[in-house]
Amino acid sequence: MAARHARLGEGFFYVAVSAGMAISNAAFAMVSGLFALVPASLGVLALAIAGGVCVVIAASIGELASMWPSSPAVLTYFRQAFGPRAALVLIHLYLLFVVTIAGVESSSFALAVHAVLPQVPTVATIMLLLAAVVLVNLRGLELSRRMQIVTAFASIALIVGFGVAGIGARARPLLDVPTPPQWAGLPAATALAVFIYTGFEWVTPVGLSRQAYARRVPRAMLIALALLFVTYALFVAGLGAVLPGAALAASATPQVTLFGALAGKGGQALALLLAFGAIFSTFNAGILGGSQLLQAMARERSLPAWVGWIDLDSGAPTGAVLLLGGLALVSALMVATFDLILVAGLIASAAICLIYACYVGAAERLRRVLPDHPRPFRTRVPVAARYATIAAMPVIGVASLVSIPALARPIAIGTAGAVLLVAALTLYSLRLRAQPPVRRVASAREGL
Amino acid sequence: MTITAQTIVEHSLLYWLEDFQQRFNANPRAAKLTAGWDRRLLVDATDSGARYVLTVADAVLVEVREGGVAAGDTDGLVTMSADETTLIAIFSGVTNPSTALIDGQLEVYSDSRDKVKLEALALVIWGL
Repeated sequence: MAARHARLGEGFFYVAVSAGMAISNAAFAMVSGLFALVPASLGVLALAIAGGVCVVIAASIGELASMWPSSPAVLTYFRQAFGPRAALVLIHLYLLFVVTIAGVESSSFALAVHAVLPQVPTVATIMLLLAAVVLVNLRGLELSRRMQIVTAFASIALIVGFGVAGIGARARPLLDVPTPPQWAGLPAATALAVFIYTGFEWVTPVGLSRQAYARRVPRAMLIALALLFVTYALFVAGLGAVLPGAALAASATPQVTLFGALAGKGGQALALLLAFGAIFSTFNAGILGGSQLLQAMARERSLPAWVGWIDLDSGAPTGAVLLLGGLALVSALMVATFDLILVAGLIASAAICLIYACYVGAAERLRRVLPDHPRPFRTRVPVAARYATIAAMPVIGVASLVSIPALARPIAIGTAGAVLLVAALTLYSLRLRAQPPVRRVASAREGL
Repeated sequence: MTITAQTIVEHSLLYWLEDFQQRFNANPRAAKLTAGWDRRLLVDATDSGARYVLTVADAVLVEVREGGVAAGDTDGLVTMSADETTLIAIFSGVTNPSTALIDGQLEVYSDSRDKVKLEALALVIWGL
């Protein structure tokens, strides 16, 4: 009986990590983006399509995770599948995505705070938030498993509750039938919806035993995706039933708008609580996971040695946390100052579509390259659907980049900048690797 | 003793775990690093079936015990699984555990912070 309870608790933990990473302030901002592209009915359809695509991706990631349980996912899978050079390009793209998301998440959080407490400037919130996140990570503090479960499920309950209340209020017609021109926005809306689910795969490094990767971890991702679809679909439907699409498209904090419209000041306070819960769950795992990735790259000389500095008294990855925190701050300030939430979100959506296609591609390639490697979990998605996903994801990503003509210029500049940055970082890493190694212990102690 | 490829293969996993215990307990940095970090490290050789439990309490590696842990007894447990050769390479200081993890040679089941701590331990004990 006790063992059954323990397994159940473990399963809840995996679902909480997987779903919790996708309950983010950035995702709420992207829900606004959905309303900039399509009406609520197509927003729900986009969520359903993206959810289906993410199920295909999750099944492939589950297979990869079962091949190398507990490994730092992206680094191991891409290297094993595509070799070190191609993997380096993808990892730099992934890191750029993480930094962009950190910026969108921080500024979305700051806007939520500002919407409820207008006297608090967004820049001050961003700086305080990132300083707190860096300090927490340098101190080595981590949310307990129980707190992660409570935070994730409480956040979901709040969103579902207000979504249902919005649908019940029916101030406006529920899920209008879209007009033919509105359908044109569906591919881009699907890309944004993929972004909304992003983070579900962050559960793969946290499995507590090898056996967990045979069923519990892959199944947790699928349960989390189903839960996220229900949650965000109700939220979008509730928003569409209460507020006009144009007003929602103009707001980066639809949760504050909806909660406030339905429950006044109390609702806004709950929206603020939700913003805190969302940022805790995403930054708790995101900054630590991202810094571990940076540290691993520094160790193998793909990044400068100082990025791998460890505080030998606490064991905290000081160099990587400071670098990631600093980059997140720059990204957040740029996003907030130039009002780039949707632009950054669309570029990040395109990037994550490409990365997800590579996850599925990695699983397929490894079936050919390492056919005998043990796979306790194998995706049961039909081969045609897997290849269709590999082909469709980049197309969906590009569709997101050209979806809003008014944003064409900043998106073109941002995309070109991202491509150049990834190319430059990859070349830099290759040059670093070509240099003779330096004893890591020396650089670590210099950093003390 | 100077560690060479020859000395590594000449000794068993248990030998290197006990060597690790001595290095750990003789290293003041390791003591500082593991203050308040009371854990049991289950070292599980997937090919030979050998299993050992290393107990860290009050910043001292107090015991290297042959055997596993009871099912469900996971409190404060960090599990390291790999084939015996990889485990010997790790506990003799030849291979960095984090590198082995990325290369898919090692599996570590623990909280994220414990993985960070293990990496720091490798750095203070072997300079890896």
